[in-house]
Amino acid sequence: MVNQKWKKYWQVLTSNNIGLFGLILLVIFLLIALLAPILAPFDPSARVGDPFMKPNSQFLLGTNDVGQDILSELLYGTRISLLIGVIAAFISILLGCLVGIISGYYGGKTDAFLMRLVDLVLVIPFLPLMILLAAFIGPSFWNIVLVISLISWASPARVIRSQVLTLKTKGYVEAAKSIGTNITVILGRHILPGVIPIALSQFVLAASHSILIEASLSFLGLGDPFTKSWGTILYYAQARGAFLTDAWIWWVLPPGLLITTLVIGFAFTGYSLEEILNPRLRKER
Amino acid sequence: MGKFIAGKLLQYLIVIFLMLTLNFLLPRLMPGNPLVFLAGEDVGFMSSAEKEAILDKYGLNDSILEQYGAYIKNIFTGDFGYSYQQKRPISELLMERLPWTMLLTGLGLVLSTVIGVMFGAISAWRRGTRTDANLLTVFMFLSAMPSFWVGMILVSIFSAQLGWLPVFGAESAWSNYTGMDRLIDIGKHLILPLATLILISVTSTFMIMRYSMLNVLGEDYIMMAKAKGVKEKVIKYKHAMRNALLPVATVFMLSLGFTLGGATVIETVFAYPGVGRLMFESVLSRDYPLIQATFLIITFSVVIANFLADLIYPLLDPKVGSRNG
Amino acid sequence: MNTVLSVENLSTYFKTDKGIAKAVENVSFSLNKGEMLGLIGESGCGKTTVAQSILRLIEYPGKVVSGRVLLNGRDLIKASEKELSSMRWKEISVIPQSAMNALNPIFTIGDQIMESILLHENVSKREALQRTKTLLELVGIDGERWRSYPHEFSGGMKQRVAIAMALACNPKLVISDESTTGLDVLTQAQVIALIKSLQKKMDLSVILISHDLPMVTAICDKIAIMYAGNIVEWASTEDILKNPRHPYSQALLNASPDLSNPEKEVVSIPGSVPNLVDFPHSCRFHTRCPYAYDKCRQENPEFKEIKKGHYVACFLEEEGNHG
Ligand SMILES: Nc1ncnc2c1ncn2[C@@H]1O[C@H](COP(=O)(O)OP(=O)(O)OP(=O)(O)O)[C@@H](O)[C@H]1O
Ligand code: SF4
Ligand SMILES: [Mg+2]
Repeated sequence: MVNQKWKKYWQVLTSNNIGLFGLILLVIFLLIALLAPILAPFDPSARVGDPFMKPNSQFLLGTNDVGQDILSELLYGTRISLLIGVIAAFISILLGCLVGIISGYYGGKTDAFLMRLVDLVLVIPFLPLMILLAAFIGPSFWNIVLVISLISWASPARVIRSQVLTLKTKGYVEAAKSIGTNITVILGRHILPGVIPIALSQFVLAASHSILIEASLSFLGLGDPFTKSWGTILYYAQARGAFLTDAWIWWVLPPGLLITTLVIGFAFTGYSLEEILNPRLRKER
Repeated sequence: MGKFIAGKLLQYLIVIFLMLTLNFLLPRLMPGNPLVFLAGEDVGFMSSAEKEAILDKYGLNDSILEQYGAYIKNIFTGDFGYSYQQKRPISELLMERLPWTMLLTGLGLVLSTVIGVMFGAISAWRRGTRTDANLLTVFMFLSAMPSFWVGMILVSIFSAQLGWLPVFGAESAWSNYTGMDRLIDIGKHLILPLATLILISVTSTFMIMRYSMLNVLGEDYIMMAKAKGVKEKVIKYKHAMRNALLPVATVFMLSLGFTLGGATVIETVFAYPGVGRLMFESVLSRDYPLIQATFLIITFSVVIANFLADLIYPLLDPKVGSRNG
Repeated sequence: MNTVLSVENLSTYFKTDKGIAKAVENVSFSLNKGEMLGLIGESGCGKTTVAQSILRLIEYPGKVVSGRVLLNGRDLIKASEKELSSMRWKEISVIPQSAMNALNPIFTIGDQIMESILLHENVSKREALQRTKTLLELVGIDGERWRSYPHEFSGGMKQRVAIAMALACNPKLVISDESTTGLDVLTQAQVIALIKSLQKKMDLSVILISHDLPMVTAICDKIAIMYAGNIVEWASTEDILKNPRHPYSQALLNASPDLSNPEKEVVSIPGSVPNLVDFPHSCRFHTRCPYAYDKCRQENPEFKEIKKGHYVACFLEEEGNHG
């Protein structure tokens, strides 16, 4: 039965144009990330040309300030942007699920406390906080992931909690609780199956946010200095004033377009997942 | 209502307290020389007497609780410490930068809210039409673009290529404009950063307004108004608008933090001399006390703005307004 | 005869993901001055859709595809927006299903009642307020409470406010759409009694939509029974009670507990309401009708007058071999 349900989601998702478009984008980016070594004409960290070369038959998007091939940088950058986005989103959704389920399941004082905490976290201006943390703990791949996920769990937690509450009103949970069913059984049988689809759509949306945040952090010079993401490429483009010259067309435009497209891929997939899972939204369209 | 406000106030005080504590602990708990975090990376070049003076100023030889008390007291008396790199008291730096940030984000928030509300309402009123679909697509794309990149592209086009608008800063340097001329100059410098800020923060308002307006339009009281023979325009603006705005007001508060965060990045792109740019500069030079102070001042602003919005909210919603008188 | 409302061959469809839902199909009935008509049927059979079609409140994805709704001789379906605005509330008003949500939360109830008066009548604000207070008193609410917001009232009180609002401009016809849903039994009875007494007092014509058959038979002059988008039988209450002709009416009467004869077995009607999307050409009741035969599965029975004022849609009537 569960399988059938997933099959239905899949069908609706793919029959929905927006969702299908998003999925296709994601698949393309995944392929680029996996095949970067094959697709990229050069080693992105090698100085293969003169600095600041215009696009030509050898370097399709020209070279940067130290003579690295921009196209190769972009192709490899997909890996970092995608990876950070996905891992950070995964951790924040995991945290969000934990808080949301505990909050919704136990209710009462626990719930009140956790939701207050969520409110608190949501008030904090998250980008400045990330900058602060990143500046202190230093720029590295894992630190960025950590910082993003530490701050992005709050709003998924709230969504998950309200889903748990809805599941609870259906009565199975209370009934199971009252006859002393083991909590892991209640979780596994009644709560998780209802929470996972919502968590999935939240995950996809969180990934789109994480990618944008990572880009901003890298752009501010807080990215991992050893692995260049799209944000880092733009950081150098900014630092070398590329956007004030003709180079903006091949050095500034492409990374931003890639970020936008990837984010759109996640966002479209996420919104249509949400639409599938929330029939109320579906009716309104 | 008093209770509602008091609850909110408590919540904000806790936020401030937590952020202060985090700020206090960060330099003291991080591995490495706390002096670096307190005085900046230049400590290496200081004489040991100077170092002693700093240790003394920060009371690093006192117990942690005493240090904490002194720290809190300093912050609340407006003493954010000293930037050893810029060789100036931090509060002075902040005061210089704050007005620019307030100008940029204040205008940005108001304009993006107005624009988002307008288009959100239009989209909902024309639900299911081409207009609705087009607006949705445009706004979705806007929210997917990195803020700094939007800024860079705008500069490339309007400043570098077309030469219509200045590239960076808040005013022309060495120009000595006065009066009206100065205002115009400031306005010209403001256009691109402001446009960027609006472009990246308008979508959340649009989405919420559209969704909330759709919900309101489905309510029975709207149908009743129609059945009563109330004109469509009056229904839209009098009956539906205010109800639909309630969730927008809530999101407005949440987006404050986002907008100020966005401003940090945008100020950086345009070298706009606000607090956000100051934060970026301090990150670049690893001027830790300054990073912390800018973070604190941004947090304070968000909390204060949130609180103001809370005070206004009851005027919109009679349910909150009349609770407990 | 003094006909206030006459609905002729009304059909209203909804566009859905799965196809066109024929929510109301070929519905006809009429209503005389001072008469109370009960419109009865299972949930989802199209009662609210009929009411909204009459009031011209059907919106996308719904559409009135054919028929006429004559209110004092004027066709509401064809009326211009302007004509419609002037007729609404002055001639026809509604107490909606879930009147709880019919009040706008951001305006005081006084404002909302006054709004309708000021909209349609050339009176001063003070006069409108005076009338609002009188109306509130009429439905048993302290007139001074006009300043209250909806959330400060209980469900039953909001219901009364909705009734007061419906009467604000002395309409000739009031449609009450299950206006007691969500109230406790005692309050329900009070609200219904209130509607009945006001109807008598003001010589109103009322369409009372409900699925409470005993209640409707107790207070209505005539009854129309709906099934899956059709009115299958329409007659005086007496005729319906004594001589129900349509198999669905018979089943419905059997299904509702008979207070005078508690021994009688409660029969529920087997089967469920058919899907209204792409409904095949047939009698809509044939899937649940014990008398269904071949013809019923291929053709749609006509809604015919079998006796003065008694209309039925069933082939058994034509054949004259009623079981
Ligand atoms: N906006 C809509 N979109 C699609 N279908 C609709 C819509 N509104 C009503 N319908 C369909 O029209 C049919 C009649 O609905 P209606 O609300 O008129 O029933 P009802 O008799 O008033 O039921 P209830 O007793 O539950 O109020 C239903 O099958 C419903 O699914
Ligand atoms: S027409 Fe046929 S199916 Fe329909 S009610 Fe009459 S006997 Fe039953
Ligand atoms: Mg109904």
